[in-house]
Amino acid sequence: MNDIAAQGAIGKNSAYDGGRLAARGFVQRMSIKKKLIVIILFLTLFGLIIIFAGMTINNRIIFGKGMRKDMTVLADIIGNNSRAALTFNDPQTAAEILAASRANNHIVHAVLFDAAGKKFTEYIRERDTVRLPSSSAEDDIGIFSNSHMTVTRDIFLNERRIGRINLTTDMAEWNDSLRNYVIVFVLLTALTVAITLPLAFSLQRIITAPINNLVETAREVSRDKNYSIRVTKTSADELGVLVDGFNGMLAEIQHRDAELRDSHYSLERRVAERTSQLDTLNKELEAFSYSVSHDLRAPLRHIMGFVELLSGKAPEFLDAKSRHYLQVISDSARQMGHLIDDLLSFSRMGRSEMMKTQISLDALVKEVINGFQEETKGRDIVWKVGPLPEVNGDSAMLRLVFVNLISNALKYTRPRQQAIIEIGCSPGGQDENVFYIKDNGVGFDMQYADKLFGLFQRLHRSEEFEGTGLGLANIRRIVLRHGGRVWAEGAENIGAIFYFSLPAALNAEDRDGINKNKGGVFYDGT
Amino acid sequence: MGTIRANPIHLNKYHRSRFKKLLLIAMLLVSVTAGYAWSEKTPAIEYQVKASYIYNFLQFVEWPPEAVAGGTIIVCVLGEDRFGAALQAISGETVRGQKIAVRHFKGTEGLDACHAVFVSASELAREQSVLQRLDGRPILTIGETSGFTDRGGVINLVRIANNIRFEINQQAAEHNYIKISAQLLQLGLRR
Repeated sequence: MNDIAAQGAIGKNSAYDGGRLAARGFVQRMSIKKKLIVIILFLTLFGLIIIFAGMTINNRIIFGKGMRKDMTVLADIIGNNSRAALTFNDPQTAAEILAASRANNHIVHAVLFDAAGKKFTEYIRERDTVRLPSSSAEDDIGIFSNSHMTVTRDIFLNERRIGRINLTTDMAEWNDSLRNYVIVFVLLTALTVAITLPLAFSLQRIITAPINNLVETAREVSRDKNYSIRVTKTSADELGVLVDGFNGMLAEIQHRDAELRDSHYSLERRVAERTSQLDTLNKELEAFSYSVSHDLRAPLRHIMGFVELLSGKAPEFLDAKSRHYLQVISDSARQMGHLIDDLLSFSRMGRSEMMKTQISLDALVKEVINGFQEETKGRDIVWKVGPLPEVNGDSAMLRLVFVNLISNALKYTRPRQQAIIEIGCSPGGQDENVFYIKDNGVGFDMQYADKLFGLFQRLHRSEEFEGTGLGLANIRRIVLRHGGRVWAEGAENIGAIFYFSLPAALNAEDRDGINKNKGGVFYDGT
Repeated sequence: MGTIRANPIHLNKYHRSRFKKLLLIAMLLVSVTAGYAWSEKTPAIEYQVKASYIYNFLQFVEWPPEAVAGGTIIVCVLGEDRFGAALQAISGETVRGQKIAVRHFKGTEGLDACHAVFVSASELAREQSVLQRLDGRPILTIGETSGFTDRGGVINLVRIANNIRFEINQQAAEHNYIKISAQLLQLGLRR
């Protein structure tokens, strides 16, 4: 029961609130100008109504008093004139006397009572025969409520009360004057509004002009993003304070903008400076490392040639220890040769132009695996090669990617009885193919995963697994130049998966564009 | 000018405190017969009404100030007095601050001192001479015979059907320096 009642109450309240909100919304949507005009008019009308009401009430009181006085005098006159008729018990003559009331056409009813209080005679205004106020009605005091006023006077003769007279008058006179008051009020109100409205229109500008000025400027600022504009201050009141605050904020924004712009420019300038410095340094370094590698080859070839010649003559002149030394020199020189070759290759990958063609990776991977046939003779290797798509790229470079990755896989599965090497492709995210080479080799610790593709970064000692630390770095550089990415997953003694992605289904021109862009983004020395 | 419907009067009900007991009784009697035809068998009632009329006339009549300087209004009855106690009851009452005294006369001797003289029907024979004698003096003459006013009397009480009415001879009143209230004139029979 209570819940229902409460719900009802809530419903009612919310409806009420809704109405009020709607009304408030209407008021809120009005411009300040309209609000001011409405307030001025409302107050004016309110004042007029109070004055009108007060004057009307006052007039009604004065009118009532005057009328009572008049009626009293009249009642006394009629009463005195009726004394003989009362005394000699002549109601007919009394009626004639009462009929004299006709002269005052507001008198509705006049009654003469004898001393005993019995009705002696009466006069009724002809047109009022149908409805009469009760003759016993006492004087009205109400302002607008009663339509009649009754005055009662005793009639004396020789100091004896010989009767009583009741005079009842209608309030037509008051109603007439009330109507006149209302007409005057309406005319005055119209006149006041006619005078006040233009005044209100011009006076409200005192308040709205600075506000509109402020609003207009705020609009201009937000539209043009021009923070150098200032609002002119026209008054020293709260609006003046607001204008000052607004101008202050604009100045602050302008100041900050300038600072921000300055620091932005200086930052860009510094970045550009550093970039060009880095570019220059990098090119020098590249050229240096290339020429060093290149120049190192000639002496190394001499060393290797002469070590070979010496080894040819060795059995005759050298003892076993010396021959072993020669062998170490020869091995080291060969290793150094590999290193120089790899460095040159890495260097070349960054410098050489890409020759892009449509390449069948299926065929390419088959060729690469076949290339390892000789090397892997005698090993138990299971190859699982999935279908690979055609891609657009530099065939020599991509071949190098697969050669390096497969050679890595073969190298690190060497300790395994049976090596399992999987090569496949899975469509990765949008617009790219992801290739992977998975092995069951020694794997690596995932915490070094980000170091794998770094230059000269090696996770295993070269006594265990030979290598120069340049292979994966080279792969990374090639894949990046093709617009792809490289990453790896692995677990120690379980295996490793190397992934790289290449953009899919792009035609040659697009890819060139991309490559040029990538070339800018990924620093590759070109 | 209306005719008087002189129904038996009950206006004295509120005079109780002042009127004498007998007048009260008379009035009560009048009240008892109110609305009834009033017959020869009740002559007393006729004179009770006439007595109250006389009293009431006094209230609407003014004498010259010097005539009433004595402070008393003397009401005289000439001839047969059929009022009995009814008229005696108004003796001692005051009208405009003046006491009423009632006196009886058999002859005209001393009648000059009266302010109001009721000439009884019994004096019809010498009515003319009485009126002539009082002519020009500030005396209100009241009669009850047909033609009383024609003969120079001021007020004549007339019985019409079962009602008492009165005639007023205004010229006679003026002649006698008596001012009769317009209200009373209004009530008088049309002549």
